[in-house]
Amino acid sequence: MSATFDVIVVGSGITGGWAAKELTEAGLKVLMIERGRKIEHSVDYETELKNPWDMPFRGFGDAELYAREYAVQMRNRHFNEFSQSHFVNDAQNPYSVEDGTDFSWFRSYQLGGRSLTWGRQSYRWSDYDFGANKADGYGTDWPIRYADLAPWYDKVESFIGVSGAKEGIATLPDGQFQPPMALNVVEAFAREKIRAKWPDRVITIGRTANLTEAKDGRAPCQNRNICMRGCSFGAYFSTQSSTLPAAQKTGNLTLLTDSLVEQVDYDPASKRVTGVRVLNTKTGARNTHTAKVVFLNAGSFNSVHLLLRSRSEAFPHGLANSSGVLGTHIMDHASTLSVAALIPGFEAHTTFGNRPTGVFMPRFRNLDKKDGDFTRGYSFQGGALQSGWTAAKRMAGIGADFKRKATEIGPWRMVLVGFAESLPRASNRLTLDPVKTDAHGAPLLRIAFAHGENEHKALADAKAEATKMMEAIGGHVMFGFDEPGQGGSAIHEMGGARMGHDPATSVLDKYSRAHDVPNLFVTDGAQMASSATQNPSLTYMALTARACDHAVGLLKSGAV
Amino acid sequence: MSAVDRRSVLGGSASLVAASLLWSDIARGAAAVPPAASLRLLTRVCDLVIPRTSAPGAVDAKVPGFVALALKHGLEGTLGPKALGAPVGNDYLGWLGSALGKDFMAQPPRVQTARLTQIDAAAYAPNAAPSPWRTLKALILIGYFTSEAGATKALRYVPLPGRFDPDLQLKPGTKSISNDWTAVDFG
Repeated sequence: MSATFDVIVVGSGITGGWAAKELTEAGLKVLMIERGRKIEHSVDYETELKNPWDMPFRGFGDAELYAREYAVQMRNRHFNEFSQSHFVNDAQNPYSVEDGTDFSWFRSYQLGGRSLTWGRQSYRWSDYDFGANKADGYGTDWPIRYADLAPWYDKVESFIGVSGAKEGIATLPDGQFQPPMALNVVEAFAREKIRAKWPDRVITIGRTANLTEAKDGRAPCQNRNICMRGCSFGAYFSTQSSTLPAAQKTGNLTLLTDSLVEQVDYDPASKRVTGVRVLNTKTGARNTHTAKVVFLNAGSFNSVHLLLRSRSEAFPHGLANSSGVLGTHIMDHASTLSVAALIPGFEAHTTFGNRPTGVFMPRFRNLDKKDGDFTRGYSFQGGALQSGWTAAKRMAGIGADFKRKATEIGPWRMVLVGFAESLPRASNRLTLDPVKTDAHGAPLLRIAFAHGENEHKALADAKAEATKMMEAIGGHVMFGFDEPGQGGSAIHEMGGARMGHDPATSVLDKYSRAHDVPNLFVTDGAQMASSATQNPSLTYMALTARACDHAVGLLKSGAV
Repeated sequence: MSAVDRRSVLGGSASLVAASLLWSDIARGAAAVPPAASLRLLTRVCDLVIPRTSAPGAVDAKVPGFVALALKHGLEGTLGPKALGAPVGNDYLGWLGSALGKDFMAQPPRVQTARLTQIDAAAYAPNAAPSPWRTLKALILIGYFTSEAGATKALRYVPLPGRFDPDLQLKPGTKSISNDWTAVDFG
């Protein structure tokens, strides 16, 4: 029987959109399947233009409802009454954790997935990152290096639009940037002071997938900083604003929404996957769709979940899992507020506009020499800000004078949040819950995760160094922490189907293709073999574009 | 009429008007609506915290209705089983009535102000134990500065900045921007 499609792409988020774009533009017939509802660009951003007073709970949301139905998602700083429809209902979408695991799994099940709600920070990885596993022995060696990915980073940045400043830093390669957003007056001061004392510590403006120049029918960022409601200007990269229209323009894309992929079908005779089984979550109907190639882009944990569920006689422990490492070595950056400090001397200064990015300081520890009592390192993200009306919650007083003070712009503060590299460990893993099932009868995904001693040491160092830096710029340190937030809180969960040289110790080859199944690709965060200290989404996109190029070659040559 | 009396009358009439408006503002479920006496008290307290000045006050902005709704739905952790400083049964308005005294509404504004100031000062004193008053005051502030009157008249509201200026001179008396979301989150 001939396949209906050339390629099936499971998931429509950051990497699913990229796969759809690249594959359709190569002339392939693609079916993209999304489990959630359709959200049409601009038309369906229902809260985008709402004012706080238009909302029943003024944007803060119904706390009683959240405790009952959004108990995990409500821990996300960006989850609120304006954005809640872009996050899952936890009560309807359960997962389980092993005893002792405290893990927040933040999810967005809808067309566009988390591309609608992501933090947009876009950083290249360097060979300090791709070479890390080989250098210190944690995890398995990446089968690629920076040079393999550099042209794909170029391609992705040029298409999605990343604003940023070129800095010439070895640990944070420069890219194809739109003009940077500006450091504010205090951040600019901190950059100069800190660099004068520590030449290897650079505060740069966050490299963000928010446009500073119009591009491909998308308008530049309006500095509202309400991205997660959806942006009718198309000013930040999302599937809707960027990759989906490109894919649709080819005429080669078929899109299914409200369609949950329950299993990837494997044919032991041909040793190929043949397609997927889909449940229409609105009608309850089940269908099978066939294709020559399948791309999994369901999000790191959900792609692993789907592979684990796709058991067969040939793969009794999960599809493409002859190695037995499927589900293992999951990671999430260990992050915490390393320091918050008052910065005096700028009382006569302020800013205008809601810049949708902060600052970034790339890793400086344990690079060409070991200078910490831990391996690898951490980066900082943060920024300088002035308080507004919510500061009055901490202010004594009542009456007209209190009211006047509550309207004033508050003092400058600077915060640095440490992001420590999460080492790949076999004990941090995903499995199928042996007992609990979802509403459709499928086993729940079960998460076992804990940050290790190395992450704790790194964050202790981050707190100490962040404190020194704030003191060096004349700041009065208020507080800081060295305990990581719970697993998942960085929203950089990744790994579980790692890429590697050896089919005995990894799931995917250097082109994100399953060692065991030549027409199956996994190009979301599941493929990651290490976590680095930068936000990973740009790397997922570059790896996806590279994998698509390889898949197109295989299809056109008849190899799959 | 003396200045004190005039304020008293104004305060009282504001309370009456607001109390009548509250019933339409509070979400469905009559059982959860606070007793009328509690709402009158809340209205008077909102007026004392954020009075009408050159900008509308908390009662003009219907803050008492918002606070009642917020308490019903647990904003600021007010339905939490272990909220710091939570009163018995999470009965914030009952606590407020007890703290201010049974005869509070009958007192002249000077006395009312003194009593509330005393509670406020105790709640914000160094090393003070967590107080329900700080939670109530937080809800009053949220209700006011996210109302149209508070957000746009007491503060500046800029839904479409269109640009980012990284360094501007801050002149004394400049009002903050109510929708500076970073400040709202981290302020």
